[in-house]
Amino acid sequence: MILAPRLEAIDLWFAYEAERPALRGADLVVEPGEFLALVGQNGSGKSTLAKHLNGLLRPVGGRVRLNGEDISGVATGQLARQVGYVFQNPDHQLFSPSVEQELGLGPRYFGLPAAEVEERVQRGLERFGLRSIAQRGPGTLSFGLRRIVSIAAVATLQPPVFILDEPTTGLDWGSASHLMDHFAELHAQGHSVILITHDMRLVARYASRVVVLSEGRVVGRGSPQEVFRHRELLQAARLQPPRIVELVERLVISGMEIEGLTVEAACRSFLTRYRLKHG
Amino acid sequence: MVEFYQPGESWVHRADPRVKLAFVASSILLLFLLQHPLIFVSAVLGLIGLYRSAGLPASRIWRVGRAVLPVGFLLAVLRAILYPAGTALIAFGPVQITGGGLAQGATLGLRLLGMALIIFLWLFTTESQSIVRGVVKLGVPYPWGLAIGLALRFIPTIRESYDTIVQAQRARGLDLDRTRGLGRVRALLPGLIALMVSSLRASENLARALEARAFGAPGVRRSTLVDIAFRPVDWLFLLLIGLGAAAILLFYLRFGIGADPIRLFP
Ligand SMILES: Nc1ncnc2c1ncn2[C@@H]1O[C@H](COP(=O)(O)OP(=O)(O)OP(=O)(O)O)[C@@H](O)[C@H]1O
Ligand SMILES: [Mg+2]
Repeated sequence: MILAPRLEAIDLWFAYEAERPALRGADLVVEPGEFLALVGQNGSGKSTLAKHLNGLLRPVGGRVRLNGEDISGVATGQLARQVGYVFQNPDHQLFSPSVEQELGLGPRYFGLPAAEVEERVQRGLERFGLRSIAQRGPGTLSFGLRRIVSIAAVATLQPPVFILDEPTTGLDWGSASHLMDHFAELHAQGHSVILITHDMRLVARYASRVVVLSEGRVVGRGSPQEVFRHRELLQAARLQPPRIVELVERLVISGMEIEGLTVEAACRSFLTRYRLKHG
Repeated sequence: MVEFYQPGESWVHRADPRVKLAFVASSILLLFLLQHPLIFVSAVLGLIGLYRSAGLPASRIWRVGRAVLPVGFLLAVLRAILYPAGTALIAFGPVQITGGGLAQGATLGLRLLGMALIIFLWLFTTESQSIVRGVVKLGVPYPWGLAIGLALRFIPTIRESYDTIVQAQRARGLDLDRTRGLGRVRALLPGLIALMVSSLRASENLARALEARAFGAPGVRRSTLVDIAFRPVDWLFLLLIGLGAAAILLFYLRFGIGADPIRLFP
């Protein structure tokens, strides 16, 4: 079991350009081992906020704490041991001549012994199904594969906290669920996962808590259930809950006792009631 | 994304791009001829005045300054130390700081700053379409003009990609604080490769997108949405630029004013 650190961002202010702050007093707590979804419309500041959690960006106001300690004096290279960050665009994070070396890059930056690096690389190739393309150049792969290589390359760092910035864009639903199941497994082992996404089905299925960002501020938080019910919040942040949530809501309004945010959960709940009634 | 162009309605924005290009070319030429640091100080002050009257925020001036001042300062110091001229003001062993060396150093640094301010004044106040139209009307073939426009459009994007790439390296455990000198260059090399790959990919996509939108279709004469034409006031600007440059040139050639880094009037 992994014990993930507690991450805390307090009243963060940040601006790329002085006239337009990207963060305006954002607050965020990531409890050890939680699966948190960070949502909000394009440009709301999700990536910017996440980049503060491993010191890639330093706030002009407010602070970030890792297990209660201020990280302002700690280099990102060091924080990388605690917080792994998968960037939005795979092409910004592939550096090596082969997939194999790409997976070993981070462990080598950490200065791990060669045998340990090798072992992590092999495990990564196995886990993400990359064995057959281990010698290919990452740049020559399809977008989906580049995406997966970029994720595997962070997974070999084995950080207790993962930040995934829209990891499933450009992946088909099968690859996407496969990938997310992998992180659900890591989550079950105690890793914290922060998932930035526009896909509310993923939120419904995997996240235990949702934080909604709008214009650089947190405008809502709660369980997926609570957030999906909050009409004004959804509208303000331009979010649309999964269709199944709407269906369940309408059935409830018309008097049916049913719940669930995913098709599976709703089915289960429906069948239980149905059997109870009809034997 | 941070673009060069800062939208506005000032007289500098509205001036014809060709007029602005004439200003850029003639003033850069003069900056190379003239030598006295006081001239450069006044040129920089004048340029800052132009920026303000174009309605550009101080942060823009500061951005140009921040980009060139470190290099300019380094050049100035090196020049002052390596090429002493006249009697020493201060001497540390073999290193002499002389009035002449200082003046020449200052000239060099300020010249760089002045050039950057001039070029960016043009870029900050001219839409990339107008830049393209301007150079095409001056006789540059359209594909070349478009290439210039696209290059300008993509410099900020590439710069942003590079920042993200270095971030991605650091997020993978690269500790830049602990590498120095050559080690640092070597550490950044993978990032440069990634930048090249991603830029090549972007340019290939861009070329395809252009073709898909019928760029270079045979037998077609392209029409333009944005057209530019000289207004009377543009002729006036051009006249003033020509007169001003000629006057400075005359003083320089005839009387040697500004030709010496130490004495303004010979
Ligand atoms: N490198 C940068 N330079 C300048 N401005 C930036 C930069 N990166 C982001 N911004 C701006 O900061 C704001 C927040 O951007 P951010 O990328 O954090 O949003 P996001 O919520 O991740 O959006 P998306 O869903 O599109 O990824 C936006 O207005 C964006 O234009
Ligand atoms: Mg983002």
